[in-house]
Amino acid sequence: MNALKDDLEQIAATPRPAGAPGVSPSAAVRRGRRIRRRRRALAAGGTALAVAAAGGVALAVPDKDGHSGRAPALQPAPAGYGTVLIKQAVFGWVPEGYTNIRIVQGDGDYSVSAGRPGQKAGGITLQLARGAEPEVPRLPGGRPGHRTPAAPVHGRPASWIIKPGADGSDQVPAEFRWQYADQRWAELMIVDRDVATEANVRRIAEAVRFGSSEAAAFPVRIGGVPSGMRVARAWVAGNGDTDIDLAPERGAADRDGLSVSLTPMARGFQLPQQVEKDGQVKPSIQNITIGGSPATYRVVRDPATGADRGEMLMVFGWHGMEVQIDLEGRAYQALKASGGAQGLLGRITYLGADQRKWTTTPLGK
Amino acid sequence: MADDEFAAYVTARSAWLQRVAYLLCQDWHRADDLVQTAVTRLYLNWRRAEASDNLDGYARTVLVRVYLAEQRGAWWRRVRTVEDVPDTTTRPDDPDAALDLREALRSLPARQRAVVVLRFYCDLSVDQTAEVLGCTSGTVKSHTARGLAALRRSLEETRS
Repeated sequence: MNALKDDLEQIAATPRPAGAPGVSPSAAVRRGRRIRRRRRALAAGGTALAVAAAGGVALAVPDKDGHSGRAPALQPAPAGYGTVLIKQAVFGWVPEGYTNIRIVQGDGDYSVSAGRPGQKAGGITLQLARGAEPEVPRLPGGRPGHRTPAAPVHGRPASWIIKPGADGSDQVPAEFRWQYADQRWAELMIVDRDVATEANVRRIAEAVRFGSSEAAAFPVRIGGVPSGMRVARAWVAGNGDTDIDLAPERGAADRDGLSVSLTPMARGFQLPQQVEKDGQVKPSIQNITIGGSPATYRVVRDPATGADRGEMLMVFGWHGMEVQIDLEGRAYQALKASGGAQGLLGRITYLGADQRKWTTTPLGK
Repeated sequence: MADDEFAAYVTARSAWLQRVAYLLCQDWHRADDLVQTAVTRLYLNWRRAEASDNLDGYARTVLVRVYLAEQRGAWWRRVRTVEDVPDTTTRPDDPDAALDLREALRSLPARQRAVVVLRFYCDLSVDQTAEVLGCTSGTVKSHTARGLAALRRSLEETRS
């Protein structure tokens, strides 16, 4: 790993550009003092709340995940789940050569990207937000951003966050935001300079269709998923790149969840090789073989108690994909009896590269 | 008096913190902003930080957490998909390798990138990295394996 460290040090030694703001200890002290003053003022106000509570107001105290009460154990009995990802918004028009490449939905997030075939990151990304209008992001260099009013979209307010050719467009060619319903915002980000014209951006925005009930399809079917879970994050791309993260109804994905991720491997990709003591040459990352494919398997242990609390399995070359399965906490406990991560892998069916054969209900019995 | 000690520490260590921040975000302006936010938080907890066994480690933890927290904000959405690299590199021994790694590093999700920087630039152990990120060692190992695999894949792609 010395080569990696050397390369990281080279990157860290990149010269600073003129005009970078630098770091000011005195500014930190000034701001720190202001924050302290504000905290003291809030604490004084909080006393009144404490008095009210002592007077008999019952408060439900949420746990770390924002829920009240005890979290139930997950049931190991396989559950059937419905659709995983609904297309809340779809592009109605994109520039020639562009196609939908990725849909991502997480807790409170939704985005859809379009790009040219073979592109990994979207040249055009549409992101949705709920509630009050999101803040205007800062411009490169941390400078305050600002909205530039634009003609309404379907009668709803719209503005440029970065207008093509204007301030900030040297880094992101265009960003456009409009309100598509009450308390609902859509933001288009265009990173492909070739398509970032005012006319194109407006045409893309006006053609976006919201409120579709169409479900996104996935290239796999995963059997034997425990019941009592919710989809915390789902991601699918046209090339088969898939990620489904499940969390308990009451709980967090990174502590008690289950994650299945498939990433297409580049053509001709070779894992780094090493020579074993017995003279055998095999991938350095490999410690087991599954179905003829090199794989890495690890048991995750609780750092405090040393007890097993999860598993991580990576398989390279499974139907041309790199598959990773992570089980943590309650999801791990629920799947232990059915073979854990390796058992779950055995219950994953690849549906092929043809999107017509994909399924909108990838979590099945 | 504590303010003087704080200012002396930040003056002495800000260049190092800026380099770590730059590896995380690859934009000097943003790196400075991250460090400025981190040292403000450090000031607010200066007594606790000073009393810790490892003040540098404390400051680095604050910085990485500021960086990860910011990923949820709008700034991250803006800079992560930019296709041009904003800053140029020095002339390293193998400029192509550094440029490739820069691209590959940038393509990693934030937590994987933080794990790679903490483990292979800052030389932290798995357990130390887990402490910085507030997760289990298993999660760090998983992020490490996944991050390295993704780096290798990206490097293969850019060089093929």
